[in-house]
Amino acid sequence: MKRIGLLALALILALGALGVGYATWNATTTVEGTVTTGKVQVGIRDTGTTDPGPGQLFLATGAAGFSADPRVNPDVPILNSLPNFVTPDKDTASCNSTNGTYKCAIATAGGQTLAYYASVSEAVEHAYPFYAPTIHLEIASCGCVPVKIDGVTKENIVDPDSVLACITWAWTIDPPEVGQPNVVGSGTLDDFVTALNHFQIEEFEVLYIDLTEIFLECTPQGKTASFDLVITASQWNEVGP
Amino acid sequence: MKKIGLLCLALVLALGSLGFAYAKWSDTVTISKTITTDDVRVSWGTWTPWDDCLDASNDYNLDLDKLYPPEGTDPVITWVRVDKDVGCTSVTMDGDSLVVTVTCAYPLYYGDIEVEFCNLGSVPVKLQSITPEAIGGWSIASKPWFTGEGSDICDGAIWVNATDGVGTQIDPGYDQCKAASVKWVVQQCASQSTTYQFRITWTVVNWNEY
Repeated sequence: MKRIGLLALALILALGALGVGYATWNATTTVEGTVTTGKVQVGIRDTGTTDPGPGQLFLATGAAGFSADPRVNPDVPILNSLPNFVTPDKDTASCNSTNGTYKCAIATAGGQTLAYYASVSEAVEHAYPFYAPTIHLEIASCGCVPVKIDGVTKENIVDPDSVLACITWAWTIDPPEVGQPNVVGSGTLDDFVTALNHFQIEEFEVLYIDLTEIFLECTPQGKTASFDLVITASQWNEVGP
Repeated sequence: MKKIGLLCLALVLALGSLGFAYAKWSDTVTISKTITTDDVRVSWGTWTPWDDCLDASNDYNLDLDKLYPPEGTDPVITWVRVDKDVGCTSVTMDGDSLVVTVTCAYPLYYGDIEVEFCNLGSVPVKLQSITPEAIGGWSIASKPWFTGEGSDICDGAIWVNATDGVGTQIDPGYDQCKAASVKWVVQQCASQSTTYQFRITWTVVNWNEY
């Protein structure tokens, strides 16, 4: 027996010398993870105003280039939170808006691609009491992470003659969620800011806003005011409620 | 465990020192807004006094025959040219006001200035009121000429009248000016060697608030 043991040992050593090895059968499998993080991105664009053009044309109603001023009833400027418009007949003032730098795009269900921008600039000229132009805005969530409006701040306010104190705002906010009712309101710009806060915009969805400014009786003549409204949107799950 | 805690703390401090920050993912868009308000401003485009001091022209007087016509005929306030050049009228512009100076006027003297009332602002306006007022403690006569008998008592030194255009809309621009006139007649009860000052104020409002 001792001899057989020695033989076996010699065989193992010999095979080992030849490079042959025996081990337990095994195999490996690997999980290779790639995590691509989502993006929070919002863009804005104007889709027009109710009083485009140069204004100050004083053309007859219906003439080419005539864009009658939207205005409200001086006695009841707002009715049930909506501007109480009267039949327009003059083209004195104007309200124009332009989109800023391109930022992102989303595809619509109809296969259309819509561009959104970093900013929108709006210029109201020759405003007078009870002039009430409306700007149509869209805020889109271009990233794949749903967002909520997480603060709206007024910045770069230049208003030495208190023009802004003589404007009442009326808004209709159309949320992207199907079946969710529009939010209609009126009040100060701060009220609008409050109304807009915490609106959720799902990924690649659009929040529609109609914002009307109504110039009141106290509007000073021949003055200029300007401001920026900075709208911040954050990932929806960290913004309450 | 204590060692792991210390390691975490050290990691956080290290990341912090490298300028890392953890916050909600956010993005912003901006609405920039500029508002310019309009101007309401009216003034005079042209003015032409009938009896201009620059011309040697005969005076105008109130036509009493038309004001007190025969029975059955309606009275008319109008003028008649006389054969004398006694008084005269000069007009100058002061800011947006016309300053009218009548020299050597006398009872029955009939003055008239044809003017163009213009909107120099940028918003259409409507004429809301025309208000004549006497300056310096005298009264404007309520009727153009009075003999001082019965109901025709002279109640003011000068009768003043401006074209009644209340409600008229005036669009901006010199090509949209509206013609008007200012008339006056010196009354029988006016004093001699006296200066009478009056002011007529035209008030306009933006057309959509008239």
